[in-house]
Order: sequence, then structure tokens, then C-alpha cells
Amino acid sequence: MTPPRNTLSNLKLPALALTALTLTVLLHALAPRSAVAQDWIVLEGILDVEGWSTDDASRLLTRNDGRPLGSSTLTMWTALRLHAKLQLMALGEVEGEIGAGAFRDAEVGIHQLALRFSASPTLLVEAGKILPPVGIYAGRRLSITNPVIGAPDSYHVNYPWGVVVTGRWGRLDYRTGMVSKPIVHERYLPPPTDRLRPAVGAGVTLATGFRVGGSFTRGSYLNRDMSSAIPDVAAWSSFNQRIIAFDTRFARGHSEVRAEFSLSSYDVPTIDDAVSGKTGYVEFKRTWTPRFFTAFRFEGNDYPLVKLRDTGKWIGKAVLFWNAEASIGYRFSRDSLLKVSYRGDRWENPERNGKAFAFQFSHQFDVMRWLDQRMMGSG
Amino acid sequence: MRPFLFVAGVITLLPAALPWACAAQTSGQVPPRASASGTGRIEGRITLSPALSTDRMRFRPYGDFGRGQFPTERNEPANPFARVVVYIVSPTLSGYEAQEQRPPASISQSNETFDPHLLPVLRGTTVEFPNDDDIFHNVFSLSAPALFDLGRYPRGESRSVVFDDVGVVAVFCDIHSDMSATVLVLDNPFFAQPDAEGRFLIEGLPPGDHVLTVWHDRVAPIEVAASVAAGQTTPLSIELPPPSEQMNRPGSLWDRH
Repeated sequence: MTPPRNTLSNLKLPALALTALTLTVLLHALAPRSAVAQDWIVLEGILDVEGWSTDDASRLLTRNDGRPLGSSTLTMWTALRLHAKLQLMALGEVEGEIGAGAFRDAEVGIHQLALRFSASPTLLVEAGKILPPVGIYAGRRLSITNPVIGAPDSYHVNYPWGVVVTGRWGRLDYRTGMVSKPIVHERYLPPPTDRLRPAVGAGVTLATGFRVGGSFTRGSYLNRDMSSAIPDVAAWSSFNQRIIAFDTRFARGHSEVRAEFSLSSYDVPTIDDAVSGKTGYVEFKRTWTPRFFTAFRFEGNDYPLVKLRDTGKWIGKAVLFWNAEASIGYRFSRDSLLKVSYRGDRWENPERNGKAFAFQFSHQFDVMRWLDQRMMGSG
Repeated sequence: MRPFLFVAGVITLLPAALPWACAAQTSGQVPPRASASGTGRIEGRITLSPALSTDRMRFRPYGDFGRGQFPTERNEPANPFARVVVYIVSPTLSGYEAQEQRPPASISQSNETFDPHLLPVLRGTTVEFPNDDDIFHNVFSLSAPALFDLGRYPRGESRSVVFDDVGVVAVFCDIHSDMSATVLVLDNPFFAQPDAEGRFLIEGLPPGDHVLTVWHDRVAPIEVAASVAAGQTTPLSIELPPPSEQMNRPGSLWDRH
């Protein structure tokens, strides 16, 4: 699910530049004149510029609701070492359409804001606004690591509040915690009311580069405001969502494969049997030369649509949808990447089919390294 | 028909024979060897500022679950002088062979770091990149002197690269963005890395005026004049970064490389 954002109407590029400049000057002033010690702070980011040609039905760039034109996204993250084993981290994003030298209708979101305590490799605790512990797609959220441009339609990443404990013993790894949000797709399910729910996951690395894992979560997914449309005998929080997910990654040489598959079921008011769905994707990436790679992702999606109609009746049914995206990537440098991709969407109803062609240029930067170079004269 | 076959055979085999003939000719030009007799040496000590004595904080905003999700912390602090190389740049020294056999060059992927972080090698050296971790890494470089991508391979396996061109080669892991290493490919064998206390020694230098370059991945390379006399030791004391009044001064030997 796309995380909720604060919309800042007509946030101009100069305002963003001024903010960045202020931050830079502040860091400059705080740092010792002779050098920047970088053992306590990380401040990095990625600037993405995208453009696409699409029809109304395509979901290639769903993070912008499929609207045509182009957009740019500035993602920045910081981490501070508060103690040898304690870090404070934050990750935020500004996204807006490109137009007339401004980030038009820019949307600002703080995705992660958490304390990370590393007791040992077997016990790491994260508390705050964090990544969901279910599924592995979150690792592809950064454009630099995503081999295509779009995201799987049913693997939108949300950022719940909560506490998660992770760790590993040899080839085994685990994660368990309590988080505030269910994993929902905003087009298929109503926006949920936050309520704590358990989430667990585990994995085993069978061989170097080959890991299989699974995860599970269960909890309420309806909105409290829908109570009036729910029969008196039940509370909104008694209707549960259950998700069990499986994932695998395999890499060898210049090829990489990853896949996820999940089964979900939903208790729906006025419907006797739980509504179930399934979704999954498989992704291939092949690096042909140090600069050039190709990638392909196929997604099949039989996702449950749960909706309260204007008539006051609930519907719950699975909706079949699949899509495929193929991309070509070219690395100008370690930090700069250009991708072009084509995606086709297919529905049960052919009138909803869509297609899109897109490009994305990504540049990663490191503010502390830049400051360091300015001060050390190694620019 | 036979003359035609002979001519065709010569034309076919000539391209294959040419490199062999050239190699044989080149091998006849024995490069000078740095010998102990009639040479001098430079002995120096480097002082690092506190900021250069620290490692960068390691952080991954989106790690894959399992090992590699969060970077592994070092068990002990790294030697800050391992990020320093001192070397002589001089066209007259080009082609010198090493006085002593150097150990095989290797950069391992260990505890989610490249070890060593900085490796100076003589041009033509083969560097091994063994994977000593249980997770996969990717080893690649987009630097002009060596463009390569070794892909991913499991623990216990290794890939190698021959560094034929002089220059700075930045090496990265495609999966773990906080992993990096530098291979400094040099034109002659007169280079050294300081020990844990900052001391270094370059031996077998021909007498004369030399320029010593001090390289650190966070500081602009600096150059220091050093006169070497046969049978004698030239002492040097170098501060990194150099005092600001000595940086960028016109005519100064503290200069950008």
C-alpha cells in the first residue's frame, strides 16, 4: 500500500534547495574545520527523475496513481550512532511532478523513523516506524536496487509503527514483532484503522546466494468508521486478515532470481466464508557487462477485493490481474543509473488492459562524503 | 594451387604469430631491476588527523532479511594507516621490477567488507577476489583503468582481475552499497604502506631527486620532494591532511594529483 503522505501544494524547487542548503551549512558549521569525522553519521540520498508514456489503464508507476507526464523523487536517509550499539535512523521522500522548474504538488513522506539496537547478530531490535516484517519486497524499494522501474502491484510497501526483533544463527534467520498496520492494497481494501498485530518470519540460506523464507501475520484490517455497516453481533476489529508468504532468492554469477508468493484470507461482514486470494511475482536480472543489464518481472495477482457498496452491502471476491515488465539498465557510474522499461497489464476484462513505456534516471549521493571532500580538498 | 595454399596459410597464421614475435622481442628488453647496491632509501612517518583515524559509520536502509540485512560490525578497530599508500612517480622508474617477490595480491570479501580496503599493486599484477562470507557479494568496477564485473560466487571460490593500466580503481559490491575498496595500480615497485604506527620504508631507489606521493582515499594526494643518495636514508615526516597553510600554496609541493 502506498504510504499516506502530506501534500504540500506547489512546493517550489527553491524551497527544497533552501532546505538542503540550510542543512548543509548547519553540518558544515557543526563539523570540525579540519575534517569531518564520519564515524557517527550517515546522510545519503537518491534523486530519481522519471518520465513515461502510458495509457489510462496502466499501473506501471502506481506511486503516482498512474498519472501521465514525469515526476522526480528525492529520497534521503540518515543514521546517527547514539551509542556503539544504538542507532537512530530516518528515511523520507519528496515526490512531485516535473513542471516549470518546480516540484508541483509535491508529496512528502517520512517512511522510516526508528531506533535500532544491535545487541549481537542473533538479537537486533528496531522500534518506531519500520519496514513490515512480512515479505521481502521492501529490499527493492530504492530505485538503485530495483532492476525494473515499477513495483509489483500487490507488493506496495507500507511502513507500520511497531517493534521487531531480528537475528540470525548461522544459516537461519528470524524476525518477529508487533506492528500497527496490516498489509493492504488501497485499491482493493478499505483504509485500515491502526491496531497492533503479530508478524513473524524466518528463512534459511541453503547455499551461498540461495535463501528461502516464509512469513505470517494475522489481525484486523477494517476501518473503525465502518462499524455502522457491520452487523451488531460483531465488532469491526473481529474481522481478520491472514497472510502467509513465501519467498526465495537465488544468485549465481551474473544472474539473479527472486520470487515471492502469498496466500491471504479475509473475514468479510455479512459473508459467511472467508474470501481468499493469492499473489506472487518472479523477477530475473542478468548483468551482461559491468555497465549493462536486463531485467524482467512477471506478476500474477488474484487479489481479494473487499468493499462496502453504497447500498450498504459488502462484496468480497478475488480479481484476476497479471502484468509483466521488462527493462534495460545502464550504469554510468556506481552512483548513476538509467533504466528504460516496458510494462503490459492484463485483466479478466480486456477493456482494462494497459501498457506503458518509461525511463528513470537515478543518482545516489552521499552528503557527508561531499562535505569531507570539500574540507579535505580531494573533490 | 600449392602456392595459393602457402600464401593463404601465411596470411592466416601471421596474425597469430605476430603477438608471439613481439612478445619475444619485448622479453629481450630486460627492465632494470631495483638492486640494493648503489641505491638509497626513504624512511618516513605519517601522522593522521583524528578524523582520518575513524572508520565510516555503516548503515543499510533496506537490507535483505538474513545475513546482510545490517552490516557486520568489526571486532576490532581497523588500522587507519591501511588506507594510506606512499609511492614514487617518475617516468624514469617505469618498468623497474620489484626487488623482492611480493605476496600474491588479494582482496577478500570477509565480514561484509573488502579486506584490505586499499591495495597498491604494480602494473600487470593479478589480484584475487575470494569470497570468505556465507552470503553472496558482487565485485565490480567502473573505473577507467579496469572495467569489470566478477558477478557472484559462493564462499571458497575466487575470481581474479589482471590490472594492466596505471590508475585508481574503485571496487564495489552491487548488493551492499557500504562495501568498497580501492586498487592503486602503480607504474614502478617503489611504493609502501605504513605500519600500524605510520612508519614506512621504500628501498632500492636510484640516487637523485624524487617526488613521493602520499595517497589516502579521503584526502587529495599530496607530493613531497625527497633527495636520495646512494647508501643513505632520507627521512620524512608527513602530516595528513597537510596543514592548511601548506595546502594549495602556489609553487608548493603540496598539490593535487
